Amino acid sequence: MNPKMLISAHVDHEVEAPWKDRLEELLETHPEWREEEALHRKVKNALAAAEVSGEAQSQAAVWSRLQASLSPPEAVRSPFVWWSYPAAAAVLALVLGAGFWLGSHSAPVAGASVAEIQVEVPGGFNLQLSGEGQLLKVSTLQGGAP
Amino acid sequence: MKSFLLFSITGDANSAGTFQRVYEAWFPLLFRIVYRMVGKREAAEEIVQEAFIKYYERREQLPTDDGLKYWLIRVVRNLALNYEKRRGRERRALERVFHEPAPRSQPAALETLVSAELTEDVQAALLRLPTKLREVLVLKEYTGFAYAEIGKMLSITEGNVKVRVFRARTQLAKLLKEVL
Repeated sequence: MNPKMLISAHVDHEVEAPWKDRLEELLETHPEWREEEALHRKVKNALAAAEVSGEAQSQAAVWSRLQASLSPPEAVRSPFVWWSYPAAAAVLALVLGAGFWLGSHSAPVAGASVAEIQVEVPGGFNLQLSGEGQLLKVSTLQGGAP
Repeated sequence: MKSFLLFSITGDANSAGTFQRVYEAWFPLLFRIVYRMVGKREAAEEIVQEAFIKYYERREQLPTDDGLKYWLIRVVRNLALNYEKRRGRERRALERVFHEPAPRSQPAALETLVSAELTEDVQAALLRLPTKLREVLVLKEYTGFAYAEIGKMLSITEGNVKVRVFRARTQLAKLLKEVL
């Protein structure tokens, strides 16, 4: 390794003992080494001083583009979002299915046999017989004495 | 689409507020590194933007401390190197088509540096350094990392970092001798 490489490392405070002390002795006694170190220091300072103009504008511009291109983080979304759509669909299907089933089983079928029972009712009781559409067919109506 | 800014800051590692804080904390450093490496504002913006998109997509698996800083720097460094390679290929393709050297983005002669501002001089001189020297010097000057950390980041030895920094500064000194 070129020993002068230590000069650059010295500028960066990256030379450790015992090399640091030896290098500093060399720098004191050898003007050409000192000159070289001064040059490296100037380069370092020039890099540090060279600002990137318009950095704030770039920061704002990139932020706007990020907002436009990325969806909001999931963690801050409503907790209902991820499951609400399939759940709502399932509930809807259940309701529709139940409604359909009830509808198809509640309407009486013409000519179908229905349960027939005999009951005694008080005298003078009057029942309107309506024929089709009733769940209970009344075949005999006998009223006793009031 | 709703703005991130409309969401509440929850302190959650994955929240919009955290994303914004990470962005505000690291954008200036990342932008400076990339700008120094590629020398074009638009390209630097695109590269940093892409890095934050990668961060957004993988934020749940990424560290939240200094490890995140290393990760982001590695990402922008790789993207900047890819950009440089792509630009090199395009330039060579143009040279083949037209049988003459395509104009480079940086000044071709040292004399052109002299009349420019120091900032532009430094940037132009940086772009004339070989990529391997430039990236090490940029990381050293703008991140404050030690040689050992840079070596770890670039998978090279600490001694190699030391050599590259020395060579980079020596070449820069020659390029900037008129303005230093």
